[in-house]
Amino acid sequence: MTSVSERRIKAFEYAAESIKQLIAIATGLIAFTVTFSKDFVSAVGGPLKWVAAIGWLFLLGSVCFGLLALQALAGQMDQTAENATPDGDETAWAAPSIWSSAVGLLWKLQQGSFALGLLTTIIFGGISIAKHGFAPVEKAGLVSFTPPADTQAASVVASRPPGTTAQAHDSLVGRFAGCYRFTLVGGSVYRIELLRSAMGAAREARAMVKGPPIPTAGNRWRWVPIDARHFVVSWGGIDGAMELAVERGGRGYLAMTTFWSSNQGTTDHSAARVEKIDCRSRPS
Amino acid sequence: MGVQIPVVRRLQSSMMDGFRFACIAIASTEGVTFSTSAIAELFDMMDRAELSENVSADELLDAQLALVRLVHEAAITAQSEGELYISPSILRDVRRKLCPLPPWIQPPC
Repeated sequence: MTSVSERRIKAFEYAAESIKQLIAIATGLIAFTVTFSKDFVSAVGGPLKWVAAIGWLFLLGSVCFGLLALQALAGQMDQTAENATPDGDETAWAAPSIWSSAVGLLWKLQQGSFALGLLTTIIFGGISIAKHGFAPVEKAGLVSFTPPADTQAASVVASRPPGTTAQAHDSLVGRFAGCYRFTLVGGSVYRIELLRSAMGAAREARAMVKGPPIPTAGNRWRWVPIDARHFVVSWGGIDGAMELAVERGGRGYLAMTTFWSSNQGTTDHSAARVEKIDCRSRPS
Repeated sequence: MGVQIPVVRRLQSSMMDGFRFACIAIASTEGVTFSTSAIAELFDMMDRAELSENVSADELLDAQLALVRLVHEAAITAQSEGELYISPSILRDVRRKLCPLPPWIQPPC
């Protein structure tokens, strides 16, 4: 009986492992990008969406070719059964090889498809960032209003001041959206990004405060424009709440801060300095 | 065809590795990670889906993607609550919120 050499068996094991790793990475990339597709793909125009779709197709193709390559590997181990003699003499069996035409072709197709999928995804990401910038994410020292899972016009309507049309409200949202630095009495500085998008039952989103002392339990941040000169940013926690009423004047912004402490039962008012800043700027 | 059965099982495990990789990467993207018990619970749900009988490949993929989305929601929730870890309780809360997930990958909501 002709046994397959240990070296050849190792070659098969490594080949299968390599194929499996590529399948795992391709699957992970698909799952990862599909999960964030609402943030990235939904925000881009038509042609660019196709780039993302093509990337997914290539990655999916890579997974499928990987499956076929694994099957071809298994087939290699048993490919010569028909050559065996009726009495079980297996000397007629050809040596299996990972470089057989079927395995080689499918393996290359898997690798090629994966490379194209990765390249397409990178191209999509690059163009998307170049056109639209990074999706709003929390940066160090920046309180960011998380973007919505999807557009919830109803929630925007629910939170806008009475008598304001949806169009006017959206216009005001666009007017004030951006990043601001709030300097409170005592020197505490908060960098806050006001996003255009709504989330939840009101125009709010939750964020983790990385800035200076503020009760951290159950942080809830929201903002709402009042009119062409005013907007309000508020924070609510389990043991306190804060509201920043901001006015846009001729020389810039001014804010009145109101802080309620449920632990101490106090309400404090103070002025705050507000500056509109570049969202990409680093905390100073 | 008998030869192909273990091959298919291996493929599923490779894809499962991919989904696990995606879950951890997604949590990291949101700035949180998993507690040991939460990740054990998540992987248990994933394995339960994989081992379910009479489930088509499409249903299996849908279920795994649903679990990845669940992780994303849990990561956002944990991050919003100022937590560094996704705990089993956050995972269960989000799972209840996302119900109905396929009944064969989890205890009833």
